[in-house]
Amino acid sequence: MADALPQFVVFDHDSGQLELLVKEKNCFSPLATTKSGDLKDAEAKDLLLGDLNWKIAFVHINDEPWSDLSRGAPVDQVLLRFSTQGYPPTPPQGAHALCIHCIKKISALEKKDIKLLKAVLASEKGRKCLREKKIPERIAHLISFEEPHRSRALHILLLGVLAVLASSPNRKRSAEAKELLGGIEIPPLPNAEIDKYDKYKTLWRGLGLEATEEGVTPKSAEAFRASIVRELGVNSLSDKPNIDKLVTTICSAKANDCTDKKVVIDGFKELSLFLSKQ
Amino acid sequence: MNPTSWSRARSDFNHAWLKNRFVVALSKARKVLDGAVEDEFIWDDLSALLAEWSARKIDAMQILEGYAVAMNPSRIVADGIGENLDSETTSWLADIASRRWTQTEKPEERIATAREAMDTMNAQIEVVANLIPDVRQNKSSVKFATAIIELQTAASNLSEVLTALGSTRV
Repeated sequence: MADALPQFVVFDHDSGQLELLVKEKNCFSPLATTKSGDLKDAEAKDLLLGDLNWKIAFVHINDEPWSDLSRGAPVDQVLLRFSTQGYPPTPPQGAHALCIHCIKKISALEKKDIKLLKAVLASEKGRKCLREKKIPERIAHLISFEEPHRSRALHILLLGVLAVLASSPNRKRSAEAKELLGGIEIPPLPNAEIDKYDKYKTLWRGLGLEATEEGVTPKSAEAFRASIVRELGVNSLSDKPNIDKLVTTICSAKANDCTDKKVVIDGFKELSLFLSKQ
Repeated sequence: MNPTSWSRARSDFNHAWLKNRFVVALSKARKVLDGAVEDEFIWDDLSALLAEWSARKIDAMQILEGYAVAMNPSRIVADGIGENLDSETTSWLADIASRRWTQTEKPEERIATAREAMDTMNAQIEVVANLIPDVRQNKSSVKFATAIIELQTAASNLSEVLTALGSTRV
């Protein structure tokens, strides 16, 4: 009879970087497989499904064995899947076990990422959080469950605000706006009413928020905030203070107010940082 | 192609075929040549994979051709914001997003690099395919081993270049 597997195991069908990263200092034991090619992945799946001792498995594995693992692993086990390209945001998949995907590609992973993943996944609180589709802040750059459509839309609308600012060299923070736009030549503004691109009502329209001249309706503001929270994978926006301030300002402004440039620039930077990791 | 179908197409070609089948088969061929592994079907398997390349090359070309459209954020303007704003504003925002992305991502340079990597792989596939008959008769194994190593390097390089495409979408 085979020995029980240790609590932390790693399977990398390339026997490469992932295995090297996690076995050093992080106490992950590589699965001992004997086969090669696709058969190696199938063997790893059989080893994992045939053992109840392991608690966390980091795997770089083909689609079919991954699906079998997601269906078959029991509730107290955690599977985290990696790839050479990083996965797009993917909701948890396990029928019983917590089965999630890492958005960061293997070659970009650092030892501290593995340490953070292990710490979160080994804690009951961390697992509970992930099962509720909330991402602990410290691993938000590694795990994502939802495509950030709303965040991307907001980011693009802010480009318009920055373009208006960058087109007015005498205004405060104009140079910073130009730099955030990558130093591009700003395309001519579509009509004489350039201020409209600098008003909250344009942001509201672009984001599809329900609003009156006096502001965004409370229901729409709440839904907007909740969607951004979900996309960012955080418990609350207090983890992203500049985006928090941006969302609050957008939802509490009046239709014809000009945007607060400091809030826009700081929020844009934080949003860019988040989206660049998606 | 939209971003999701483009990413899927790239994954099917780059991850499932190029990296997990093609490069793996070349590694095995090297082990057979070194005498570390025995596999009487290896040259048949390798010939079959090389023959798949003409169809796979078309997939790779489509990935390159679709990349700049699928991953350009101006698409998000059309798909997500456009329905709420007037057409002038929509196209202005799309233009800004596209210019900024082009400045950051430099898609043309990336495509040119990927085409070069494909051409190198294409040429090396021909070299290996032409040498297989000799190897079956136990001739020229040194020359063949060098060609296999060069093909593996070319395939891995193409895989890396494709992986790096679309790393920036904002």
